[in-house]
Amino acid sequence: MINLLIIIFTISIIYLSVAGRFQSFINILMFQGIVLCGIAMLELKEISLANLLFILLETLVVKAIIVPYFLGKLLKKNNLTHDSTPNIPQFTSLIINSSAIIFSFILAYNLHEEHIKITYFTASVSAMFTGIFLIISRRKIITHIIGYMVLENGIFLLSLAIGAELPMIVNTGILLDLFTSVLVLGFFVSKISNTFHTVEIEKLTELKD
Amino acid sequence: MLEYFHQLSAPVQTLIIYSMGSLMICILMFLTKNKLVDSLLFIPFIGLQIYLNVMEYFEIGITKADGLEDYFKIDHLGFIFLTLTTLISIPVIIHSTVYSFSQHESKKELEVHNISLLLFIANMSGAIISCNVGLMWAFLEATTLCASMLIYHERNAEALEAAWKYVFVCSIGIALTFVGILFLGMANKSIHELNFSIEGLKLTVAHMDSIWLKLSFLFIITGYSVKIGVVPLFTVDIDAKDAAPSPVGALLSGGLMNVGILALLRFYQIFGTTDILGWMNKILIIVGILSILLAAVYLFKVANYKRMLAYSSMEHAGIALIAIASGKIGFVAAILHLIFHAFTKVSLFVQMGQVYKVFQGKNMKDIGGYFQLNPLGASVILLGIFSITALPPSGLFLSEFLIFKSLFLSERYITASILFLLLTIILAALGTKFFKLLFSPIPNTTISYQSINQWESISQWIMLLTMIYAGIAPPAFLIDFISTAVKDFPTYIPL
Repeated sequence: MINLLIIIFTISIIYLSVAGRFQSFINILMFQGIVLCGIAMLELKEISLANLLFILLETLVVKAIIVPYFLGKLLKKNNLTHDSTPNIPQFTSLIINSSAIIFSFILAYNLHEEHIKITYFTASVSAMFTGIFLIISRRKIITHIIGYMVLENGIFLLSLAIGAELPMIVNTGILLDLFTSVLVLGFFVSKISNTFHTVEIEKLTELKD
Repeated sequence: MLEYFHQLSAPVQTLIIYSMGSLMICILMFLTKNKLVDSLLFIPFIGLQIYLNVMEYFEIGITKADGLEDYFKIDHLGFIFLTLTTLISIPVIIHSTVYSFSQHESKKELEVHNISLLLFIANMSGAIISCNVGLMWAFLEATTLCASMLIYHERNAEALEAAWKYVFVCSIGIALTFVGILFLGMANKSIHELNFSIEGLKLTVAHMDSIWLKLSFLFIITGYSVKIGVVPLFTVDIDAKDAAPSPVGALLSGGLMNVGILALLRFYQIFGTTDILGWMNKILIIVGILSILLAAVYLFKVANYKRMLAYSSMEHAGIALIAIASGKIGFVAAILHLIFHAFTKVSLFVQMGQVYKVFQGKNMKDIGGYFQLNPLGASVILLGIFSITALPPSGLFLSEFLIFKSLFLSERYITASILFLLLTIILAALGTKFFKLLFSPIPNTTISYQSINQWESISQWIMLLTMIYAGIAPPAFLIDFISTAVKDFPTYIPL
């Protein structure tokens, strides 16, 4: 069951590399949040109530509801529909992303560490790669935020892969930071679209030496 | 509730008083309608900061009770950085307030600025006193968010761009650091109880495969480079120091950079017990030399004096990393260097705020004759430039001398000679540009130069003179304290 969910998660990563509409990006983020919640529930069998609530909050509430809702509002406010001008053609990025998944699978397989779960490791490394790749290859800054969220999803999966739970106080700090950083990023996006009348990253060239 | 509070041990009470007090002051800042009251609320915060600082002195090396054993603990090293943060945050707060009132800001702008500044200092203090790498990470990420609001303070296109880039690249960088920390946990699985406290990690790294340790260190240094402002992710840091108000630039250079280096030093302490020590030193030297090289190149190229100071910070961070990598007496030298650099750079940055006020521009090409317009402030710059380029009688001369000594002791002759060459280039670049600002004739433009209150330079004089005094006759207690702080580092030998 866990393997099935992880495979679904990986497929959603592949879909990210070809998606062009912002709404489908947001839908994928929502979907990934739900899948991550399922994986965490199945993985952490003996779980205290506090940790259970915490994971529900982090995956379902923040990753699957609040952040997508917030990003959707941002799109509506700025009248955005498509990220139509990627730096790299979508077919090429599909090939790059797929080869990244294959590469991380080979990497995980060759590590020969018996306590590392290969499927987790593959999915999380490829999610982190895709997140960073989205940021590099797309021009709209909203896509950059989505790339950042995918990176965070990959890191969340990696933290599940090590199995042990981080202490509560650290978890709370991390969640708070993640949540606030998305809010702050969103705040700056709306300011940028007001000031520069665009959300293309090329227009941000005021500062240079 | 109060009864429960009394049952807690004294150190935990201190932490609760500090955090709750800061939070209360933030709420009051938010609620009050008066701009003056908003700024005056910094006085109780400075009191709280000093209170925390003094109380932590009595807690050095003592494990805190009541469930906080693995999260907060201060050692000699942490105490040095905490005191440094407290000392430089006082002039920064004073000059931020002066700046705010001269800009005639709206209440909302002032309130956002003050709350962010307060939380920024509080989060830096939190990162310093935490002994858990996860918690330290969370505090450092929080400083990113506060800093981004401070950078955005001017609310123009330039500030907006800098703030966006800063918060975005910092968030990604620090996410990479988190991956590095997770790798530590991943290689750690055989140990039943996973513990991310520094003491716990020190015990467990011995059983780990060195490839994981190396990977982890690479991710960590890449992530924290954005906080320290060195290669590879230095660009956003430079932009931030340029676009932010000068006192905030001072805090980023003199405060956050030190906290970033402290965070890196914690991992150096942890990994230093394993056999990747030599490899780690190589990485630090590469990062340091590349940073100083890039700083030297850009210092010749740029004409914006705030960016010049930012590149100079990058240079000094690189020197500190090289000092750490050279080991032996290099640790004491690195800490001394960071202390002296913080004092000098804060005073220079604050003074640059006044230069900006006088000339209304940041380009070195359009300004000059500052000595005639503001003699007391100009002498701060003169002394500051002598100090920052480590000419005697500056304290930085002492620390850089010790760094070269430790480089020779550890037989790193090539590194030492490259460093010497680059430092000479930087001296030339900084000297020519800043002496033009001070001594060339006043440019004939139509702008009417604003007069400036000479008293605003007093705080910088105090900082510079303290630094020079400590450089000429380093107080014995200071050297003793630093030596105690770094005595656990690998290859350490006393001064």
